[in-house]
Amino acid sequence: MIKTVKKIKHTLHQGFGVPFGLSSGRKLSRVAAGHLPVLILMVLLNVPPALAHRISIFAWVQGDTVHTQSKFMGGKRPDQALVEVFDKAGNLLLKGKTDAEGLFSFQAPKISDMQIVLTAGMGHRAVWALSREDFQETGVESDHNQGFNAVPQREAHESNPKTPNNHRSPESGLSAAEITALVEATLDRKLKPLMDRITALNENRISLSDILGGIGYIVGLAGLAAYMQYRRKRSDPER
Amino acid sequence: MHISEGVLNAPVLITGAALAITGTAIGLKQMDYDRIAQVGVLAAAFFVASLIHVNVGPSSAHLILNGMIGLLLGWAAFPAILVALILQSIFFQFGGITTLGVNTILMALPSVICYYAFRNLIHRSPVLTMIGSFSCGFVSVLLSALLLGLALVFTEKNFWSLSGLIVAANLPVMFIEGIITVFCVAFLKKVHPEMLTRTFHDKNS
Repeated sequence: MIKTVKKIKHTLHQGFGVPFGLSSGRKLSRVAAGHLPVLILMVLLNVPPALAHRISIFAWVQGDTVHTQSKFMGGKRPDQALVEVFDKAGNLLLKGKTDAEGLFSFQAPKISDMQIVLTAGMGHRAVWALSREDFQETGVESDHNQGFNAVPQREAHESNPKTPNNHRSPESGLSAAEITALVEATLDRKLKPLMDRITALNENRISLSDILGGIGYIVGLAGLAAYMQYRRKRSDPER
Repeated sequence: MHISEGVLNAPVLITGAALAITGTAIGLKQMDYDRIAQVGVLAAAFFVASLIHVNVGPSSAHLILNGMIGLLLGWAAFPAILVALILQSIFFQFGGITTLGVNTILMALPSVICYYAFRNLIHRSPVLTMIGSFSCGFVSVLLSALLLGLALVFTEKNFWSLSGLIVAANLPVMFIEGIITVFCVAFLKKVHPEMLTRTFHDKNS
């Protein structure tokens, strides 16, 4: 921990060393000294560099259920935040609230492109778009919405008995449809950790390069303004 | 404290943008360009401060430092905060481009108000200095919270319960910023008193 703080302090020294090199010297380095305690305090206060404030929502499909997970940056979960689902035309399909873990799941009323909008109050809002393809990947027939809630194996049973679907495997005595259902259930279970990982990746943590990049821009802008001022002073020494 | 994209309606966004442009124009006009580096450093401090989260209480809020920025920069807080907010929205996806104006007002207006309210108090006796600088940090965040409530009232209604929630969520931040400001002012008075006395506005003094 102490090491990290030292390192960050070092970074800050370096980061803020630049503007003071840019224009005339001593006054400015004293300015730096003035702000350093602020920055050090800031660094010390922030025990882990865990960040929050921005909110994100991530949705994935399992069968005909859509799961959503919402997170503030840094891992805090929004409790009782409003989740609204809109279709492509912007009509509200359904709404619900997240639980304490920031999770909210719903049965998709129909297969279409969806906009899942999270509103967490105090001006926090996030959107996740779900497309038709997300549903198709899970193997649910998408062309007829009325049959959507039917589980795949039932559809297979109802289908023409002449199709190879109902051939029984000689060893196990299971129909193709039953095998499909089993595979799907297993896949859902096996893929869950993977989905969780993807959810975690979707969180978009702030990287050090973002921070340094932003500071760099500010330094550059300040330098530019100082340069303009310098030129104006040179061309008009009376000022 | 940043309002996300798509929360506010157009009139609020336009009003915010117009006010932010006005404030920034005043700031740029009043700014002492010989001290541009100070503006840059404080803009950078603001940019980074929003990453520091205070996870006390029901919600998580972050530092703003607008009291300290206002005290040191006066009206120049507007351009400094605007630039930092633009970069935050690009790099961190805090807030958004359309809400830039409203967010600038949210954080820079309290800076300027606190500048006028507390700039004289911090040159009195040590006790008054302490009270003044603490209030500066505290009140600036409080005002920001109230402005946030005001901006959201057009979409969420019920100003008082909403503002109460926002203020409660930011209460720890107010105390922390108050304390930070006390330390900074005390430090600056010892090491570099001109920074506090020579304001940005009287260029010739």
